[in-house]
Amino acid sequence: MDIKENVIEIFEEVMDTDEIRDNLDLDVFENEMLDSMGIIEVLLGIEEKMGLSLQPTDLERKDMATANNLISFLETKIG
Amino acid sequence: MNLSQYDGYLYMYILLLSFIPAIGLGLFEKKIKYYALIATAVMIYIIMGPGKQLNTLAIFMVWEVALIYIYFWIRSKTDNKWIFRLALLMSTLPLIINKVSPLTKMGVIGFIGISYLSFRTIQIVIETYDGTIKKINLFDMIYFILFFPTLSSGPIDRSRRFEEEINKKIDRSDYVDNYLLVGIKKIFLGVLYKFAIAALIHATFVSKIHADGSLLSPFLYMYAYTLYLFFDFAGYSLIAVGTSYIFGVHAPDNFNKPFISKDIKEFWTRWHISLSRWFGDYIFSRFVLDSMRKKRFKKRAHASHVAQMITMTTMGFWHGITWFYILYGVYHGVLLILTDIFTKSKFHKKYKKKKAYQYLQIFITFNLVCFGMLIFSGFLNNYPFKF
Repeated sequence: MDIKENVIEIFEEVMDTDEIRDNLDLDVFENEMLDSMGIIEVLLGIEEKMGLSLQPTDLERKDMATANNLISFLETKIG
Repeated sequence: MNLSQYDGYLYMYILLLSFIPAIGLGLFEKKIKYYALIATAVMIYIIMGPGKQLNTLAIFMVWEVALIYIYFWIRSKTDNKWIFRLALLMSTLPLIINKVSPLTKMGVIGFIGISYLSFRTIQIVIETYDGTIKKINLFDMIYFILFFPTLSSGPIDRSRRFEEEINKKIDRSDYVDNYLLVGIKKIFLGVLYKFAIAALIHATFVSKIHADGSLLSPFLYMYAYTLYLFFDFAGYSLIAVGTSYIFGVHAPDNFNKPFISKDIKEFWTRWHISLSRWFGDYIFSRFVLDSMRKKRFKKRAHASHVAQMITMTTMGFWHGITWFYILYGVYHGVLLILTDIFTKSKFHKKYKKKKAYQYLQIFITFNLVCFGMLIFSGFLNNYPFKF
């Protein structure tokens, strides 16, 4: 599975929503969909699905603000 | 000299003078950092004066910088967890000595701003372990740790962000629009908050309310003190952030309308933001993540609750080893856990979009916050039930 599909799945699972797939530029912080606990769950999802273990401070806030941002961040790490 | 930072006319006058070269450099698109380190040295001398404080700061700097270099070298050989923990303890040691020393016969050992400087050095050690800090530059690091606008009370910046910004070229229009003018605006607002509003609240209310044994005085004090503390600290932070901007650094904002928070969790995203983010990133999140990896708790919510308790209690101890600071931390730990449980309830989910419900939430949160500040203020120390 590619990075994009993984990120969409992780976001959907953590936030329990299907809005992400329709709008990869949706700001999850502005829309109050992701809190500090959510960020950690996303990191765990990345670890489980892609084998990349990260600390919250490895990313900047904007790197997780939208699905597209996270995809391009992970592409620089894995790609 | 021993001037309080951002307090009194003389300090503010010297501060204004220190702006002139910085603005000149900014307008001519030159790096401000070399001048700023000289300004920092002068300001530190003005704030701490010659003698004990300044000497302690010098020892602190040698200790921390040497430790960072040694640990950076070790980290390139091994990522051993115990060596990391030892390095972490060593970099926290000056702060621990500072907090414990008042309880001993020696009296306070330290200098103004030791906790804020410690946050910065501890962050560098942690991120060296993480591998996100890949190189250290002695000049930039010392500048980051000592950066005078945020010396005595923050906001707490992060080294990677800071170093990137001081080394990038800022063109004139960018400097004028996004640094100078915004900075001046923040300083004006900060002066209004601190010197007008906070001073007025203090003179008219806070200093007039005494612990006289009635229930009314702590009740009044709790609101007066909360408002005073907000305008004083938010004002201070605005001046510090505005000053940073003029020196070409976007220091993080520290307050964002905290009294419109709908719950305590939101409150901590709006009050002393750089501190709560620091605790959030380096204590809360790391503990939760580590617990989940090791499956320390059956439920994720439990990991979060334990982490909230640890984080806020640490925050209490950090303010000082005094019963009311520690109780303040524990109080907020408990409130965060209750907030978590409550926001998951059916009742909350049913009404959370309703306006009247939200106003009620804001009202309750405000009162909970004020009660916390009453504990924090030490006002209750005047009552017989004190510990």
